[in-house]
Amino acid sequence: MNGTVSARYLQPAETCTFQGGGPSKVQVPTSLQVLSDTKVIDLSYEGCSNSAYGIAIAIYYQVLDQNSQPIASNKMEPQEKVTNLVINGQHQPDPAPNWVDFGPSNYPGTAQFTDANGRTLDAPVGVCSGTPVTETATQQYSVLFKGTRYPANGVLRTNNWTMTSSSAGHGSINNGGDISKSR
Amino acid sequence: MRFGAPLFLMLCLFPTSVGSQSRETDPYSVQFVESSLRTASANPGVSVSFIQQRLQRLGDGVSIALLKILSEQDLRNPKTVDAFLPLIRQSFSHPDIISPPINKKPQVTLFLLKYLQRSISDAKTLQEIKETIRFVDEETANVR
Repeated sequence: MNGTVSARYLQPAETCTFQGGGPSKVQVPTSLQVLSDTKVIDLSYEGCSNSAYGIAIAIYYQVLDQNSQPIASNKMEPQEKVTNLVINGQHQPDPAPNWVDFGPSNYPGTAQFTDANGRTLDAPVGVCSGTPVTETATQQYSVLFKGTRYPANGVLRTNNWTMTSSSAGHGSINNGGDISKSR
Repeated sequence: MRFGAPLFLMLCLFPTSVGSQSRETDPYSVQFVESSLRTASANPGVSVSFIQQRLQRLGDGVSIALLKILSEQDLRNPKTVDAFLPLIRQSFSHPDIISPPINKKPQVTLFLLKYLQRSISDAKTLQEIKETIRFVDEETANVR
């Protein structure tokens, strides 16, 4: 947001007065950008051996403002909602119908808050099993900053996940958009 | 006076009420553990990251929720016990990320597991309970 900020100093009286104004850039968390180091990770983070069915990935995100510029703050608390979980064609209860932290997890580098660059790591994201498996789910993101949720309306990002594995040691995952990985 | 640096002034300008955190809507994680138990029962051996991550942060909170969810009759049913023992093991598989810290100590979990040892007669389930106690003991040895 661009606007004008003014200030006026009034105390102590009669000693000093200043005022001013000028353009001010206010950054509003608006979206999450997937970073290039997003990758497939060891299935042990998912609780399985690599010879199992399934796939797990680590996703690096950058919080962007309304002008698609990075917000460099380590005070943002990324959260998720996860709904519409379907495993092998069967609907399951929503894992996270209300906003909840997705970090930290057992994967190194995950945290409750963004780093100083306004980046966050979501990992592991995936599924594994001893038998062929297909999972779909809807994952939405927002951030908390000092008790206030952003964006005020809507979400930073939605991933419509499809994860599938029909042979042991292999699997694929995609969000129907900018994330697609396989092993 | 010029305010040129990016500022989070929108925090004052665009407040949004925050009342939907799971901590507030589901303070004992009862809803989450109940849904996880249903998913685990319907899909044995399947590990879902969205569920696993949260279980691993709950620690003793999983057993507290189970005690609020399950009846005494449930706790005597080997099939039910077999379904939730993996959730307890997951909840203590990474004690370093359990929050709040008080849930790193498995006091309620061990109380529950030892109660189950007295109430279950099925040999296979008893063995699973014994192995779960051993697992929890080992994983939390440094925090007790």
